[in-house]
Amino acid sequence: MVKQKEDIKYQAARLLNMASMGANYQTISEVAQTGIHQWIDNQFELPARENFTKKTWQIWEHFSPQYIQLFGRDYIVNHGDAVIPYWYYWKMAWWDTILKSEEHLRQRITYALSQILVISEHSNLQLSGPGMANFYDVLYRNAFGNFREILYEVALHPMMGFYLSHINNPKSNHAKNIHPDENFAREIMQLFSIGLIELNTDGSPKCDSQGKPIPTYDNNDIKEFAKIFTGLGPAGYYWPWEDYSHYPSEWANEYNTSPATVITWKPMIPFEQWHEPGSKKLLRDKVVPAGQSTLKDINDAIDNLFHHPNVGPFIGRLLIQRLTTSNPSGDYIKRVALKFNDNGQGVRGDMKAVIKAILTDEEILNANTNSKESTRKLKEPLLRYTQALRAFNARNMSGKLWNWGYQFDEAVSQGVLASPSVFNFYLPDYQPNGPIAAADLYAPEYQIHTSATAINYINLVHEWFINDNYGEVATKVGKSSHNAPSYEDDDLDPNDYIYLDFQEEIVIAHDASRLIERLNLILTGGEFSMQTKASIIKTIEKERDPEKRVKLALFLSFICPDYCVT
Amino acid sequence: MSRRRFIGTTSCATISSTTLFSSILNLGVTNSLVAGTKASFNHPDDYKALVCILLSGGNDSFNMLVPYDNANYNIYAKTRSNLAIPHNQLLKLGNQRQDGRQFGLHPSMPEVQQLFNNGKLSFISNIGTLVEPMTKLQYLRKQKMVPVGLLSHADQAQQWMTAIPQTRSSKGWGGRMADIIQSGNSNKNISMNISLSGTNIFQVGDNAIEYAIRASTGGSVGINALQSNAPLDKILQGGVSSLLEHQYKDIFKSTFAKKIAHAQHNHLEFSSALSNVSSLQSSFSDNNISANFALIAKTIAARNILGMRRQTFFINFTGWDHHDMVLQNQRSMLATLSKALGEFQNALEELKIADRVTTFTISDFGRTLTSNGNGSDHAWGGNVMIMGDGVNGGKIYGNYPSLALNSNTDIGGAIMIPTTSTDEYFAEIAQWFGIQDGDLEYVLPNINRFYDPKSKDSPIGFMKT
Repeated sequence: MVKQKEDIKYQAARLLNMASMGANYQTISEVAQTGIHQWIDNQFELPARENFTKKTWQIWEHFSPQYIQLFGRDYIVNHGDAVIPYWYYWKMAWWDTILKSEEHLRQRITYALSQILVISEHSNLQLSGPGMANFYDVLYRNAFGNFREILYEVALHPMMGFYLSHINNPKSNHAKNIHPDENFAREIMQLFSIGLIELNTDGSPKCDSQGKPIPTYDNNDIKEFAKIFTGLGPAGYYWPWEDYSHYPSEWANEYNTSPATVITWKPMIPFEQWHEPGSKKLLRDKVVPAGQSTLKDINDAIDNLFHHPNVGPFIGRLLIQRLTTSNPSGDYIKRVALKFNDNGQGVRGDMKAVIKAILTDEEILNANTNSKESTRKLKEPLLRYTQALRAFNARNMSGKLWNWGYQFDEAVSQGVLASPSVFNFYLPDYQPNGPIAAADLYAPEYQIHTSATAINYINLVHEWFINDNYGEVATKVGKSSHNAPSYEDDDLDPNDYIYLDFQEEIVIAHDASRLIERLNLILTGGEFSMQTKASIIKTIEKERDPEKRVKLALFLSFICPDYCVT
Repeated sequence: MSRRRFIGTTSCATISSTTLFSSILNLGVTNSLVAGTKASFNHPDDYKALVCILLSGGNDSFNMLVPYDNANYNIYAKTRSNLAIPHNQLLKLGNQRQDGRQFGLHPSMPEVQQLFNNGKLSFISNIGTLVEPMTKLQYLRKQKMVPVGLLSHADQAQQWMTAIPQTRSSKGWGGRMADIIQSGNSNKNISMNISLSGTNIFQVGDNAIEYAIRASTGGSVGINALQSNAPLDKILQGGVSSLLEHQYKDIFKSTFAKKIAHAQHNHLEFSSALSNVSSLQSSFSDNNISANFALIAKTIAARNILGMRRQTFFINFTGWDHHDMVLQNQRSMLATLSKALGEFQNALEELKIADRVTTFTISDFGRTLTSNGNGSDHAWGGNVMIMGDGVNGGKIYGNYPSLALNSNTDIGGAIMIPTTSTDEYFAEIAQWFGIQDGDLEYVLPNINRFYDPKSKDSPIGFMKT
């Protein structure tokens, strides 16, 4: 009976590895008690309490008076190196929220979606922290909603507009050889909805009579969709040091060209005179008639894509890869795609149905240490970091968990909304050379596991657990910069230092096997092999001080393959 | 057994190829092709390196290399409309073409202008991915095979690296070159292919993989705890090596562990070699692209210590997808590129090795000649640069197309159909690098459609013979 109860805990921990940003012992026990299905349903019922945009503004408002105080208003307002709400205020808001939120499943799904519908700070988007936060809010609010709404709100979001350049995208001007911008039109099809190849429900390609995969669209289709996404402009203007709120939005205004000067937290608005007139051909023989409004055209185009049979298997597989395994079977994809197509009540695109199908699939629930390699995935470096902090209740005295995460991002090439391009950090079909490629398996995360990042990660884990350095929190402005928080030693506040709570672990540390078993449960849900446990135990038994022993155990646990591969 | 070796912090240069992990390091030797290929570079001075710069996103290269004579400039200005660079800003290139055409360079590239005029750099014009030779008419009538995912970033950038545009492949021609000739390097541990930008397709072959170093950390990185004498670190060292040495049956786990072990091992050797070369007099600008070139120069300077006869280097310079604000953004990026190329060439001349290092650009595609308002969209053929003392410099190879709309190279939408294939470009580079005629088809599977490897003539002629 006791044994059985423990097994349930391990199963709960495994679920939380897939369904949260990292869970502590208490949460694991709660899930074990509630039961997996019920817990997922309970998570669905939790209201979306967070507001990343609002928190980003609050953090900016914490710093902006300090810039003025230290450098003088005149300097701040007129300096060429502008003082504006840059991306790092959003990063602080993200970390603060991620470390505190108990909306486990919603946060994990939001983060997964942010790797499918991609924008990135590695662009001029870094000029607007509130804009990045607001884009994330769209994914967060709709994480348990409908995929059609996600696609629509993403298409109208000004940050996507800047990222894929359909903001201020004018209709054709044949006299001047100007055609509508094709960027967003291409990527909404290739990456955000249907993909390049016609798919069967199980994700396998549909082939023509010669056995060649059938493309979902061609360049003419892109040109037609490019016409759809013309005529969108910003909702208004913003500058921190002057009130532009009553200044009406205009087409081709010079302020339209930068996320720093427009309202990036409200949807783009239509300018009908700049929208391509005439009818447009959509996919699968649908045509939108001439003379429709911008938003009607966009709604029709979104519907056209949303109802394409590819969306279920295409988006389903991408979500599966973010949550559970790199190599779902065709049957698994099909079970998820069918839920996308119909949640059981005739609704298409219901995220709850899709999420539950992914997390409770037999292929996943029955997986364990002895399962075949096709249920594996390399744990994303950022999820290892969030888990390290969440599993041991990261806190600081000030309550401002405003981690920047810059060092981490630099070292391992991963941070939230920080991929190198719209193709995310890694491609879904990436195969590292060696046995994984030889077995014809996919392993996207290995694309950022290089001789540089793999070692950098180990050095970061050393920083965390051996050096007690869990992140970068600054709350003060210093003389060194007039437009960024100061990370100079003299300006750091000891109340902001992040610390972790290892009380429960320290108490049992004298018993090395008990300590390792606890970490094995919390961190992996029982993935540590006998060999791994023995290696760690043998090493940590050389240290008698309980706290140091816990630190050694954590360091070794976080770098070992049994932890990093789930 | 070999734990001590793994943890060892000094005397790196003496680590032999039989140390721990060496079984995973002997890249290339199992390739059946290797058996039949005698590495031909036995002369002590025989060193050659290739530096591949991916201008990721699709460089708008018809604004990099621009018609200069009045007649052709006017056609350019009309087609490019509000994207055209004013004539008086262009940097005029020396050497008129035989057909009387003149060319100018983007105003932000004075270093490249000088390199070109000094005969150290050439362009190849209207080059792109092709499965087989194809005219506009054949394209429009769908008579020939077209690259998969034409005009799409992921596919086109991939195909410049794979040289197999008819399929989606994850192996690159730089990797396949390493499969063949890597065994000629006396260093059996560190890959011939060094990446400054992490994982990339260009440098992955059937056996070869890239070795990733980073300018931001000054080169390679090692596990700090293994180099430390702090009491806790002394304890955990044993645990680190036993966890990473263990032979994991699960291939996801073994791949994870071996990458780390391999990287640590290589770091000891690599960092020791680099610390033994004196610093260069030549200076580099303070940005990531120049820093990458500086690190490459330093690595080349350490070639003999490292035991390298053949090396490739890869830099991914991202951010060229200028659908928006192409004029402003491309200007600053071309300036960065131009400056870095000039600095790198100076450093190579200081090292007296400029004739043995060839630097070349690749990019997803050229961009539409016409404007989308303030940017340009994905297209096909474009212009590339190739630099080094081994290059027949000061020339424009290939056929610079007419920029008139609806010309016989405009397949519609101001998209240029390439008139030179990437295969011809790569074949000439590979031959210079030392790939034998008989191995060219392994490196470039489509080459016979564009060039006869047994031919006495070069594919294009931009390398000195």
